[in-house]
Amino acid sequence: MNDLIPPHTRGESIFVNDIPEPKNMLHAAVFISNIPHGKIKNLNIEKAEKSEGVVKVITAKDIPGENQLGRIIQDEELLAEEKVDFIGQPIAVIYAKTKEQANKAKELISVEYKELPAIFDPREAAKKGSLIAPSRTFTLGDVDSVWDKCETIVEGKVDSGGQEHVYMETQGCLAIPQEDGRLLLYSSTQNPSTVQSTVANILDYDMNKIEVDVKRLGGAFGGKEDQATAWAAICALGACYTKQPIKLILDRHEDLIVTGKRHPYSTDYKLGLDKEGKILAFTADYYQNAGAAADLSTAVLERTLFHVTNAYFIPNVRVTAYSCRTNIVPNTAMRGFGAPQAMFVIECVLSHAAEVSGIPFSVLQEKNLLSEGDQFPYGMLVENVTARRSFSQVVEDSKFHELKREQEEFNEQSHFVKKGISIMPVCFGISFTAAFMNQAGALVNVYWDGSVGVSTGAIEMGQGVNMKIKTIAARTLSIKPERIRIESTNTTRVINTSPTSASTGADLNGKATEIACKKIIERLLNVAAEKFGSKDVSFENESVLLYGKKTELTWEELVWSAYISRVNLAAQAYYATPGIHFDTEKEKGKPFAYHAFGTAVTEVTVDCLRGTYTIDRVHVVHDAGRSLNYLIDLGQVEGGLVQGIGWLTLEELQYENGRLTSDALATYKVPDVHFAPKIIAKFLEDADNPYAVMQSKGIGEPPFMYGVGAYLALKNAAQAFRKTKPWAYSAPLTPEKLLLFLYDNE
Amino acid sequence: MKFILNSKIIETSESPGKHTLDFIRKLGLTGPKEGCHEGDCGACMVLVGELCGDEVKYKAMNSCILPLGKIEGKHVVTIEGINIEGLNPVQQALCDEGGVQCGYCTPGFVIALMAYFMNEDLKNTPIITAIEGNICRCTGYNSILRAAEIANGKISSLDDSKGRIQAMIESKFLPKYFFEIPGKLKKIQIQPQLKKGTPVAGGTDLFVNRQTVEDPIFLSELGLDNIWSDDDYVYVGAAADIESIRKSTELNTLFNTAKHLSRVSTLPIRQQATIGGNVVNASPIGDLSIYFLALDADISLKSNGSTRIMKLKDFFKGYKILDLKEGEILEWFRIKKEKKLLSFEKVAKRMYMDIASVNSAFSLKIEDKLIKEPHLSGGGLAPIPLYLTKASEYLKNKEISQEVIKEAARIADTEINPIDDVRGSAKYKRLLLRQLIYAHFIELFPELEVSL
Repeated sequence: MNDLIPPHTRGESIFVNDIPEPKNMLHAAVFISNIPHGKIKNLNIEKAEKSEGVVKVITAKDIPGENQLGRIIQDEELLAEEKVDFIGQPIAVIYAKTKEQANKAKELISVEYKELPAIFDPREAAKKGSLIAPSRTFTLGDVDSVWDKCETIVEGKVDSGGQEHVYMETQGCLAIPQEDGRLLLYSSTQNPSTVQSTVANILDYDMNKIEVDVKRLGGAFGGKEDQATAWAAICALGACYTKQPIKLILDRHEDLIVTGKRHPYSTDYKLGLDKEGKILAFTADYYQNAGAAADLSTAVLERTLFHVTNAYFIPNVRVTAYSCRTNIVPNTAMRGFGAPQAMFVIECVLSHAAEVSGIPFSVLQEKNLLSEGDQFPYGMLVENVTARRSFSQVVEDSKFHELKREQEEFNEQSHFVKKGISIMPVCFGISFTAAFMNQAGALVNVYWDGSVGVSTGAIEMGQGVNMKIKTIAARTLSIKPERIRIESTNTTRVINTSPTSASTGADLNGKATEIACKKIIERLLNVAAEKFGSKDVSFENESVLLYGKKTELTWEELVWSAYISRVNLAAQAYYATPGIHFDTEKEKGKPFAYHAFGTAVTEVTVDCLRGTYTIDRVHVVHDAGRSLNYLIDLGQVEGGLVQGIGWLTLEELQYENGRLTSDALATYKVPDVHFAPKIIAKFLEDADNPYAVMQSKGIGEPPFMYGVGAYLALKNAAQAFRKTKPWAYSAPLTPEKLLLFLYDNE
Repeated sequence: MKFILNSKIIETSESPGKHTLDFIRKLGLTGPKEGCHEGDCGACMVLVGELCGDEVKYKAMNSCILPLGKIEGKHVVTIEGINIEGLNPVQQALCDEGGVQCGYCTPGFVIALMAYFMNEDLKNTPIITAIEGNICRCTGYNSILRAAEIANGKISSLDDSKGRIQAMIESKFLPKYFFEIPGKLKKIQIQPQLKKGTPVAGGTDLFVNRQTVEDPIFLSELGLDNIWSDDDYVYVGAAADIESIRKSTELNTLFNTAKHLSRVSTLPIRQQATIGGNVVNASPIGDLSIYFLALDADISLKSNGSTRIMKLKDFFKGYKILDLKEGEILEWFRIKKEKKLLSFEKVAKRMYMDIASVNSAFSLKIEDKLIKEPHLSGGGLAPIPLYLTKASEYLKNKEISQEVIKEAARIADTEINPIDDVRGSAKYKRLLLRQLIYAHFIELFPELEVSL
C-alpha cells in the first residue's frame, strides 16, 4: 500500500486551491488572444483598470525583467507585446479583490488586431520553412542499398492526434510576498526550479529571492512540466506590483484553451521485409505540430527519433523529424514525450506490412523483437532485454492463439458484432535525453528523537514517488517507515532540481536519498563503534548489531548518542546518472541508463451496425525491475494503459480555424469507468535492473504505449466486417471515423 | 434559507442561485474539489439528504451545478462530514487496492460510493453505475472497481433490519451525528412559497460553468415531480427527475425504460435533471425529448388559470424556440397507457456520460403482421428534436422487410438537415440515422435477416 494516501480518501490532502487564503489576497484573471495570428494594433485596458475591485492591470510593458518563458529556445513571451501567435495567448492580467471582479474587468479590455495568415497544418508549415529548429535525422546501416532485397515494401502515411492532459487539478499558483521583497510561490508544477528561475528572470530577481514550494499535484502527466510556469509568473508579477498575495487557478474551460497538449504528428513511411518477415529497412519523415512556440517540442521530437523502432531490431534505418511551427497553443510534454507517436507509427507500419506480405501481424512482431546486443538507430546497444520474455509470457497468459482462433470463428458467425485482438510490445528508454538533466539532490534530516524528514527534488503527482522515496529511506536506514516523513518539495531545501518527468523521478531522487541515508548510517555506525570499542558493528531493523548479534542499542538511542557526541545528523546527497552521453552532431551515443520493456494483449469488440466499440480486456506482462511498491507500479500500468487507449480512441481535439471546439469535459471525452477495459497485469519475475535504485525500473510512461494495442485490435475487428477496404492509419479512431470506414464508399 | 451542512445547521442569506460548491469551499470545507464546474467529472460530489417521512434519503450530487436553493431544508454532507476515526470501508478499500493516486478525484469517488451504500433504492443497481459520474485520470478505474466490490462485500453484509443508515452508524461506518439528522431536518422544513422569478427544474444545464439565474423558482417545490396514471394515460410531472422516470413502475410495465434511459447522462445527474428541463432546454439532441416524441406524448402547459394540451412534437418551433407563452409552465407529459414496442438508440463518442451524436427512438405496434401507429424520432439532425413525420407515415401498415426499412431510412434522410459540429460531421450524422433505424428493427425483431 501507499502509506501516504489515506488522507486523500478523507479529503484532507491540500492542493494549491485548498491552502487557506491569506489576508488581502487578490485574484488574477488572464486576458487572452482570440485570434490565431495577428499584430496588436491597439490594446485598451483603461476601463478594466477602473472597474470595481480592480487593483492593478498589467501588460507586457510592465514586466520588469525579461518577457520570456522559453527554456530550450527563447521564443515565447509571457504576455504578448506586439503580436499574437495563437488563440489563448495571454496579453494582459487583471488583479482584483474577487475572482468575479477580475473576470468582469477582463470583459472590459479591448484589443484591435491586424490579422495575419495562420498555419495550422504541420506539413504546410514544413513546406513554408516554418520550423522551430532544424530537422534531425537518425540513420543506421544503409537503407538505400537494401530496398532491392526486400520481398515486401509498404509505403503510406500515419496521423496521430494531440491529447489533453486533463489533470484533474487545473493549473494554478498562490504567490505570497515575504519580507525583503522575496516571494513564496505555491505552484502546481512538476518543475519548481524552472518556475523559480523563469520567474526570477521575468522579475529581474536573483533566484534566491524566489522560493517555490510544492506539496503535491492533482495529476500532471507532463502538462505541468513547462506549462505551470506562466501562471506562477503571473501571480509573482501581481505580488510584486501590489505587495499583496495573488492567486490564480485556471478554470477547466480556460485551462483547456490556454495550455499545450500532446503533439499531433503526421508521418510518411516506407518499410521493407524479406521473405521470412525480417524487417530490412525503414524510413520515415515525422511532422510534429509544435504549435506557436518551442516549449519542449525539440526534446519531444528527439524522443520520437529515439523510439522509431520501438522493441524491434531494424538494421537499416533513416528517419527525419521536423518540429513545425503553427498557430495553435504551444504543445508540450505529455506522458511518453514523443515516444508514443513514434511507436504508433511503427506498429501501424508493421500492421500494414502484415496485410501486404500475408505474414500474420503477431508473427512479424515476434520475429523482429530486440535481442541482447542489438543496436538502436542512435548507436546504443540494448542490454538486459526482456522484450521476448514479456512477449511470450503475455501470449501464454492471455491464451492469445486460442483467443484469436475463437474470435475468427465468432466473426464468421456474427454479422454486425466483430471481435479483434492485437499484441503491443513496448521498449522505452529511461533517462532525460538531455544528459545534464539526469541529476538530483536529497536532504535527509534525522531529528534527535529519531524521526526523519526527507526532502528531494521529486514532485508527488499521484505516481507514488514519495512512497517510493520513503521506502528507499526506510530500507537504507533500516528503520520503521513510520519514522519517516516526506517533506514538500522546496527550492530552498533541494536546489537546481530537474523536473519530475521522463519516468525518472524515483530513479534519480531515490538514488540521491539512498546515498544520503548511507552517509547518515555511516556516521551513526562510527558512534556505535566508539561505544562498543569495535568496528564490527552494523545496523539492522532498528537495532545496532555487534559481531552480527543484536544489541540493546536502538535507533533512538543511537541517534541521541550521535547528537550528544556532536555528530551531523543531516545529510545532503547528490546523484548523477553515470555513463550516459549523446553526440548530436553524429546523432549517436548512449542516451539512456536502461530500457523498460513489456507487452500487452488487447481484446476488443466492434458493433459494426452503430460504429461503437468496447475495449474488453487487456493482459499485460511488464518489466518493472524489482518493484519498489507493487500497488504503485500496478497503478502506473493500469492508469497509463487506459490513458493511452483514450489517446487513440475517444480523445479528440477539434479545432475550427485554430480555435479549440472540444473545450470542455462535455466535448473532450476521456475514458470513464464504463469505457475502461478489464486489466490483468503481471510483472516479470527475475528482472533485476542494475542501473536504477534498488534494482527497480522507471514506470511512469512505458505502460501508456500499450494503448496502441487497442487501436490495432479495433482495426483487426473492423476489417473482419470490411475486408478489402484500405485502412487509413489515423488516430484517434473515434466512433465517427470507424463508422465511416465501415460504410462510406468514397 | 437554512440547511444542514455536515453536523451543523447553516443559515444564510446568499442567493439561492449561488453554486453549492463555491459556497461550501468558502466555508473552509475544501474536501470537495472543482474539476470542471459543469457536472462532468464528479470531483465536487456531496451527499444530499432529503427527509422522506422519518428517514433521510441520500443521493450523490455534483455540487458545482447545484444551486443553494435546491438544498434548502436538506442535509448536505461533504467528505469531511462522513469521516470517522480511522477509515471507513470505502476509504480503506480504496487505499488497499491502489484506487487512489493523485487524490484529487478521490473525495468524489468516496462520496459516490457512500451514496450507493446509504441508499437502499440502489440495491439492484450495479455498483459501476454509482461511479459513472466520476472521472479519474490516474488509475484507469480497475483498482477503484476492485475497491468498490470489497467495500460492497463489507457493507452489504450488515444487518439492515433497522435500515441501512442505522446499520452503518452502529457499525461506525458513519459518524454518530447522522442519528440526529432526521430530527434536525424536521425542524428546518418550511412550506415552499410561490414567488416571482425564473422557473428552474433540475438546473443541470442552467448552472453549468458558474452561470446562474436571478430569483430561481424550483419547480420540484411546486409538486410537479410525480409520475402517476389513470385508465388511459401515464402522466409524468415536468419536474420528475430522469432516474425516477427510468425506474418508474408505470413506464417499465409498458417498456424497458430502465434500460433505455440508463445511458442518459450519469446517475447523479439523472437524479437531479428533469424531463421538463431536458425538453424546455430545447436542445436538438435531448434524450428525453427524443424518447417521448416516439411515444407520441402530449404535454400540458399551464398558466394563470388556463391550461393548454398539445402534442410534444408541436412544441418545438425552431432552434431553442418553443410554443411557450409568457407565464406558461410545462406541467406534465402523458402517453397512452398501452403496450407498444419501443426502441431507443443513442450513439455518442463515449458510451456513457456523453451527449449523443445522434439519438433516435421508435415505437410501433404489430397487428396482422402490419406496422401500426409507428412513431420515429431523431436528435442531432435538425435545429429541433425531430419527429420524423414522413418516415413514420410511410411505415404505417407496412409489413416489415429489408426493403421497407431501407425505404424508411431513405425517407428519413430527406427530413433531416444535420450540421458539422463538435458531435460529428453532417455526413456521419446522416449515416448514423440510417444505422439507428436499422438498429431499431434489429433490436425489436432479432429474427429479422438484415444486411447493410
